[in-house]
Amino acid sequence: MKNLLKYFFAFVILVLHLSCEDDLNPFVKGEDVFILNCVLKNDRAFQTAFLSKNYFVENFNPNSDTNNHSIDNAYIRIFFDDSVKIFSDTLTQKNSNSEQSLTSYFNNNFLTKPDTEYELEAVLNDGRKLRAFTKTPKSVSFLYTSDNLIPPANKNSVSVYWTSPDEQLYNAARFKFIYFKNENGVQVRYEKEVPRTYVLENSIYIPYFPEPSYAKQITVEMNAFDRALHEISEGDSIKSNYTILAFILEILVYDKNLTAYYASKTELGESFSITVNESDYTNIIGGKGIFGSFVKQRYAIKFTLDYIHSFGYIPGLTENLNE
Amino acid sequence: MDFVKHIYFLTFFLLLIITSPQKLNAQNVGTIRGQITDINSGESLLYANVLIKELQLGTSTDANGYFIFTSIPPNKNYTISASYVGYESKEIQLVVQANRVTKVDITLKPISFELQTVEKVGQKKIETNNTDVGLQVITMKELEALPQGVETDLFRSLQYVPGVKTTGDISSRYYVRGGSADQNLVLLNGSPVYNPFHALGIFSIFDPEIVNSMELYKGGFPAEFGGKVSSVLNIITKDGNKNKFNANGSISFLTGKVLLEGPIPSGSYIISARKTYSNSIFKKFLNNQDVPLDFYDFSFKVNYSDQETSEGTKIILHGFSSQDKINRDSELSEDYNWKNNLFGIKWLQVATNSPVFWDMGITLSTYQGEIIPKLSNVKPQLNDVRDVSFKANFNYVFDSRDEALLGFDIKDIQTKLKLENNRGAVSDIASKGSQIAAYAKYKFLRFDNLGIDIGARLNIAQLSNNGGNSIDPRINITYSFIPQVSIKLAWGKYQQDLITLTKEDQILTLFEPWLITPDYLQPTSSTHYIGGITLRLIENFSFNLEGYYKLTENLPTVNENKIYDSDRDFISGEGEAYGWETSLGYNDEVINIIGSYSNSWSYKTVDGWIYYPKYDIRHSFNSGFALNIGAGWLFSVMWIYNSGLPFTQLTGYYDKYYVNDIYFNEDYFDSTLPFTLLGDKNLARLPDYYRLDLTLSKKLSISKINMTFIVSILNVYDRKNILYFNRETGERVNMLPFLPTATLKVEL
Repeated sequence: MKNLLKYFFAFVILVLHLSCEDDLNPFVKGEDVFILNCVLKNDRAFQTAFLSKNYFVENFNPNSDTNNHSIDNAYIRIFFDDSVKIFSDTLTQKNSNSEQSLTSYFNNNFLTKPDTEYELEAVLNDGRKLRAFTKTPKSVSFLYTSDNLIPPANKNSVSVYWTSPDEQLYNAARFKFIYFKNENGVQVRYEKEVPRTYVLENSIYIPYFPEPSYAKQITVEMNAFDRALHEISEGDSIKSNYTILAFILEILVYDKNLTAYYASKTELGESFSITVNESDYTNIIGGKGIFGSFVKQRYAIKFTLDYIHSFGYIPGLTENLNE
Repeated sequence: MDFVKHIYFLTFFLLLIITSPQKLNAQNVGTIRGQITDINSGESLLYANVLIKELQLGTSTDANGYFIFTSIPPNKNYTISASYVGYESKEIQLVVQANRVTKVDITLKPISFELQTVEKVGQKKIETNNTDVGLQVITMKELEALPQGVETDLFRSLQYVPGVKTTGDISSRYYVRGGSADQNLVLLNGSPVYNPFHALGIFSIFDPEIVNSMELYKGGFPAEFGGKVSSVLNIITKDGNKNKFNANGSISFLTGKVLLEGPIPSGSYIISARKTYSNSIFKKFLNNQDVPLDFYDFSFKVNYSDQETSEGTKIILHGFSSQDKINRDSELSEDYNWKNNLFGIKWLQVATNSPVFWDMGITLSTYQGEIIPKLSNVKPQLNDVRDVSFKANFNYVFDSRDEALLGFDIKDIQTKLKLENNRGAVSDIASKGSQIAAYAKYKFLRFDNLGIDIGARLNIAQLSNNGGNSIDPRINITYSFIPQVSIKLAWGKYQQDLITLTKEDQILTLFEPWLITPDYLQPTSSTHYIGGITLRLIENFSFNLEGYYKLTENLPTVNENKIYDSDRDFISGEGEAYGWETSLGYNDEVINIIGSYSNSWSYKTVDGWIYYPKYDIRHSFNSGFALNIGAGWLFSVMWIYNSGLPFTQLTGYYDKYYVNDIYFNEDYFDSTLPFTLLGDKNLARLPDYYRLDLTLSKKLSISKINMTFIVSILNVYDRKNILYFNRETGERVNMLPFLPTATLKVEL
């Protein structure tokens, strides 16, 4: 019995002598990875592509590497129908998130069309080739059941509905209004986004904007319009300096690559799950990054003069349907 | 063709039973049948040892608390000796009559605080033909000797069992012999429980105060268990005090709980309820994160057994309910809600004058897990499971001591799952199915040194549309060429078609929804091969060594590349696990020492890639020491060592394009951030895990009040056991620090 106790306590002392923390080296050298990013936009003729390479730091502070990771002298082009657009010009800028520089390839004469297939190809100096494909989404159709007046009759929210031939694509929708502010006699144009609602937390109104989703509708509370309109002149007693021009709903339909990329990037998970390996979607063959596209459409919604007057503002380009 | 083969197999099996060489109505022998109960409470003592001294015949009580001896030469005096851990052994004399069942109920007296007898009479006699390879029985007395921690936890106690792994202090999810967590069948009084966790998985939902005992099959489980391919944990709750009303309450740093039990006419009841009153302790588990977590659980059991009007009948009503909620004040933060409900009724019948007994029961078990996003960006998720089960078992004990079991297991299960994955793809899956299984087994126990448990489970209908019908044969053999040494072998086939959608890259998962195996996958199937040896060389000393090999096919794995709704949620993989485990134990009146070691390998193959699953631990060593100091004092020490868990190393960074402005008005230059590049999955190892825990408890009686005060210290030398490291910041997040806890228990 005594022997047993002796051995036991000897064992405990041995255990207590073990180190309390072991070092961990989470790094290992990997192969070269090439990154190609290009999002084609249908609302402008200026299209850009970015080509870069991975890098290695061992201090968990990747921003400490201030080298330009862009790859120069690559040959980037986009094929569609029977045409090709070459991204022959480059521009180098600094990233405001870090000290790093980035180089872009661009073409400023490239308007994209809906429902069209595009093929991106980047040929590097060493002959290595990266490729990807996108098909621009089809246009959406707005439904007649949508509200077309602010404020709507007998409702305290504004809803707009649309249909899309591509059910499985993300739609990013937002309301905004365009207004002029008289600044020392000069009418300056501004835009203000209207969230779906405002949440009052700790006496502060926090705007809640819709995330891109499969939803083919958006509903905005009238309180949100009220607050957004109120905010533009907060602290300014001369309300007549403000002219409200128009209310517009903008809808961006992401292509399938951008849909997947965005959803992957916004993988928030719940607050308490711990994920150790973050997912990383790519559609670049031979590398990483994204080649996607979107189409943007607009829907104008009218407003009553009384509504704008109630804020002390001047109504702009709209007709008073109540009169 | 396969079906014909199965029919042949079953026919052969039934013939084997019918033609087995013994006499069903043997003349001039008697039978002894009885129960072992606690003298104070009337509570059945499960797995207690019983020995007929004159014949040197041994057995143990079953999961219902009954024992039986057949083929006893009649008209002789016999001494029946009964023992159970924590109770004084007892001997009684009786005379056995020919062609009759002699009933004997033995009551055992709990030992005083001063003396903790752990004598097990007849242990060698029982184990020489006990077909129990892969089985671990844990009684409440044994559980009490383990470190308490914040809460005494059933699942955490399993980590001391060789072959059972956990991935850290913050989760009580367990992994058995290379199987995933959803491959463990968890039963409460024989009824399935789908989400047996409280508090983000930190604790199990079962209040240990209501538990009588639990049996864990680490593999090779017999034919009456099905539906899962890795392990079976069967938790059997107490019946309640049959003699007097009893109330007790306890309070820990986390919960307060009450337990009421007492007699009713011809029966007893037990009710327990537990609720959180503080959640500050969660900070220790969750890296100082504030979690407004609130949980409760409630359980009851009512037993009715009127021996005057209906001898041998016992009716049991039992129920369980638990709920966890995280409700946050901010509309911009999501809420959580998990609920389990279970209600069952069971009829147990022991035939009055023949060695036959049967039980049948019906249960409804539901689970609902929900993430309510409110105005946050978190995706809404909902999982509903509704399980209605009917199970019946018919047992017969032959004069030769052989036993036969025939049974049916019928389930109707509905699952609903709504979620959006990390690619934005929506899954809205509602499925229902019926599972009909018949099983039979025959236990050859006629030889003292040989036990064979041969059985099969005939899956007539399965939940999955691809299930079809199939037969799962199982065999378990124990042979003792000398009484001190037993060789044990087991082999069996197992199937599973109710699975969870588990993200492998999450080390703490809140939402692991259940669903029926989709039509595009075959049900998971597994084959177990187990071999072992048990040594009983000296009294109070035991040594076990077991080796296993487990091959799992059609292993569903979450499709991380799902992009569109139409893409599949799962892809099929394979699993392979093998290893060996050994345990050593010594106990006497004062000291209890246990030690165990396991050396294991597990692999998963998905899409042609082979990798270690997150719970692959190469070496595990547990040792425990309990000292009965006397005068109600008990001191125990547990030390755990696990070699490092797999993790994926970083190979560097690249500048990833983040779509910060969903309307694409932002400059690309301001939209890139460094993103980590990963090496081969789970190829590296985290540092080893060590933990030393101490527990000191004192029992005392003041007037008619019994009190127990327990102080535990977890992680005595404040070992910085790593949970994970944050890839973005390099921050090392550790598990539980040095943590003293205390619990006070009061019993009226």
